[in-house]
Amino acid sequence: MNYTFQFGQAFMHLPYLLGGALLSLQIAFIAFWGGAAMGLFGAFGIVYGRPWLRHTIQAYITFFTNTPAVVQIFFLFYALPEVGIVLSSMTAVTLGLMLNSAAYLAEIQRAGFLSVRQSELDAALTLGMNRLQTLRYVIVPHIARAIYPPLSSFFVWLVLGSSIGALYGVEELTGRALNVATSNLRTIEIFLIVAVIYIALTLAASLSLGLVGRHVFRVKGGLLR
Amino acid sequence: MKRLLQASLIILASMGVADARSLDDIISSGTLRVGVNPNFPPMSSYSTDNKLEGFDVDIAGKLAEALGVTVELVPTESQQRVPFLVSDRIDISMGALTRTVEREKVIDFTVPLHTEAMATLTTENVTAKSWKDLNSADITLVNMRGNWSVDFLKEKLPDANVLLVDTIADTVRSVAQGRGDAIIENIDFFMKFTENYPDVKWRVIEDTVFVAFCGIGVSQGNDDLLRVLNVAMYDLHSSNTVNDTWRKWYGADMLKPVVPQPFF
Repeated sequence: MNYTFQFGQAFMHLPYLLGGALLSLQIAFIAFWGGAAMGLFGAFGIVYGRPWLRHTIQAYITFFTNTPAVVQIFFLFYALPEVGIVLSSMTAVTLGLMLNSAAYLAEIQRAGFLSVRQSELDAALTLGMNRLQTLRYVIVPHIARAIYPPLSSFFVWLVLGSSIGALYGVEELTGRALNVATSNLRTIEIFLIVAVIYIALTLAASLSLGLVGRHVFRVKGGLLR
Repeated sequence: MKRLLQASLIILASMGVADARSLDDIISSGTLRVGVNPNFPPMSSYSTDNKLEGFDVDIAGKLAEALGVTVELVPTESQQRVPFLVSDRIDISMGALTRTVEREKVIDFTVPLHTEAMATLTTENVTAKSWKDLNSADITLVNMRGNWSVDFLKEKLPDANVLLVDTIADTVRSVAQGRGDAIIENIDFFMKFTENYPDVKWRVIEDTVFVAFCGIGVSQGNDDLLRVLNVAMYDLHSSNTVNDTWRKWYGADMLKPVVPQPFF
């Protein structure tokens, strides 16, 4: 059976799909920064906290890295209403991805903390730096360089992961693609276009993150060599 | 999906089809091969001990009994129902096979086995008397992404909001939890899931958008088999076996029961 591609029927929905892409980016952006802030707290807690705090955070990380995000969001969306908390589709999906990211981002940032060697701190002390100077010129640049690449690839993962939203009523890129494909049956064309949009989104994210990394944190590698 | 189906029907019809087994062949072989959907509970699905069970399976057993043969269940997904008949892999095809002109050109249908009533499942919080009253900005219709009815309802009820979720269970749960107000679909297939929410005051708005009839598919021109099945199904209907079996599996009466007709 010969299938004839008809991209016209798919392209006319491009503005609708791009609107969905914006929503995907929005979910990824909020989940990433929220997760990064929570993760920073978590990493601090594990490295410098008292045992009870450390154990609590480790339990959180174990729970959230060992259950699928799709299940965590299901819980937020469909189980919480049973105790009277009704979150909107968008809130449940963004919050779910944020809580999930927090666990991963805590681990990434913890690895960054641990990458600062005692000898470097000793060297700073020898040079006569005070605590603030040590933080500013030794610790932060070091951590930033160590964790920037895994952080940016995690952001890309989040952009793609936001497609989970389609299962819970969020009209993001994948959800809208399914809507259009259902009505005009041009599924292959629609998903080809959507794949290109996702690639464009993640490339743009990688490139801009790469630029920031290069100029602010002097990170080498990535897309900008 | 519909276009794909039509295309495959036309191709199958033009290929010159395998000869269907006649009534005599079936009786002498001792088995009736019945196509049922393996993923359509409680119509038919695999039980925990890996056997097919459900409404269709019970009815298939009764029909085989009427023919004096044993039943051989063949798993057929929705899009395989007609091709499997045409290529003589099965003798009869079940699985909520909606009677349409397009299909009738390729296969034959028995008298209706059950109906598919597109109606409204809602709660007592909604006062609407008809599905048409739901065309309002403070109503949220819950549906499944990929359902044919999504576009249909958007056209008929443009002012209502839409929440698209993943499964039948999710749609019912969403209404129970107050995320949405109503489901307009073939609600017979949704009723079983309302049992999970006994505290919700469920309400069915009985004015139907339309009622479709699902018969049993038979190879075109296999008249001997078709006639025997029609008589057997008249008996199943008039003895209330169909309705009782429906209630047993769906936990509710068929919204629009089939009225048995003695003449075909």
